[in-house]
Amino acid sequence: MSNQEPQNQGKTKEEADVQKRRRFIKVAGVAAPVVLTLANRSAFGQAQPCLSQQISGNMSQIGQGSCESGMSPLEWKGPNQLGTNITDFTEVSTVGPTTDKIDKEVEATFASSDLRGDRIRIISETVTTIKTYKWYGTNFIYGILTTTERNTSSITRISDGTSIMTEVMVTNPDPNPAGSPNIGAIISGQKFIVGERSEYTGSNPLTTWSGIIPPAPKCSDYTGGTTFIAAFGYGSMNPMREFLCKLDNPNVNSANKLNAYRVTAMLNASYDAPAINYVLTVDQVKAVSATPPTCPIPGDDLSTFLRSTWLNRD
Amino acid sequence: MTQHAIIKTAEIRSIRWDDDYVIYNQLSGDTHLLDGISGELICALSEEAMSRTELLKKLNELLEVPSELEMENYLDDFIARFQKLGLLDIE
Repeated sequence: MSNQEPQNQGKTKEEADVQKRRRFIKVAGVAAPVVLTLANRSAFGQAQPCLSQQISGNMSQIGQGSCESGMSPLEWKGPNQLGTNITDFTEVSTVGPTTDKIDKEVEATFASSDLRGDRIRIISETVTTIKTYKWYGTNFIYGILTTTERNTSSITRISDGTSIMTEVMVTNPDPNPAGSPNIGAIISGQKFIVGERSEYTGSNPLTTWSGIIPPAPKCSDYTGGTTFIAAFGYGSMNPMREFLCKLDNPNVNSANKLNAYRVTAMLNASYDAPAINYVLTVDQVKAVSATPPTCPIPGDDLSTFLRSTWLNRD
Repeated sequence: MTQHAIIKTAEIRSIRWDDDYVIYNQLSGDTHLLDGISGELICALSEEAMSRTELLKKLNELLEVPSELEMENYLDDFIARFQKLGLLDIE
């Protein structure tokens, strides 16, 4: 058997023979085209890839074996800025709450301090809880939410014993004079204020609040998570979640937007609770997302194609 | 479909046995067994995109006593069927 490659050179003996065979199939009349299809099926019995259906524009076809659209980037992004938790998470682990006491003499700057800072004593208690989440239906870690609740009972200037009620920023956490209290750990740059103050530690921008009820966390309040390179085998070392978070910015650049779409496609292809007949398999997502792609991209560009697999929803 | 629409195939590999063609669609991974006429047309389209008029002319070359009505009907069926299978793309 021979593999007939398209040939554009002048006729060779082989090409002449091919032409002779082609003329042989001339028929007097012709019935309808006859075609039998052996559909591509995963060796592991997973949902049948339906890329051909998507290419032919039949995404709206329903019925057994039909393509299903995936979830949109917004649906995978997680908590939005309004605090509505769209995405389902699975809590992977909880560490804490752990309580750390601070009773420490440090140097810090504040509203009425010297420029180089004054020596103060901080008495505070911090309760920290660390929760790790993954996207429901996948094995990718969404991120870590670290909640730090701090109750600072007093901040006192050493030189005159006055209470400092404004925010202080530590400039030297370990002046460590003999006999001074030295309980707990403080890092340079850390801020304290008398009263209760909580934060999602590591959030960017930093989310803080006073009181018992924390605000609903949003995408940027989390840290860490499965990185792009861990999921794809190449590319950025930033967490997958961060590319989705960037979609909150109306001026997000095209490179970050495309990475967000790649992440969305990977999550759709990986989802198994239950598995959907998504247009792309995990391997196909990796292939079309590579630079350069290791398999052809249907249509004009990757961004347009990927958006079509969740019906162009945001 | 207008007469000026361009018809082209997906990325394919093909093998011919006697009058049958086996076509492998690299994008979908599907494998298709085609009759001789369909196979010739698909292979011709894999070499270059064509308009419907050009494809009709190609079909005419493959038929001994072509009837215009038969050719038009065949071509309509061919395009519809293979577009649905993802083997053809029309612009």
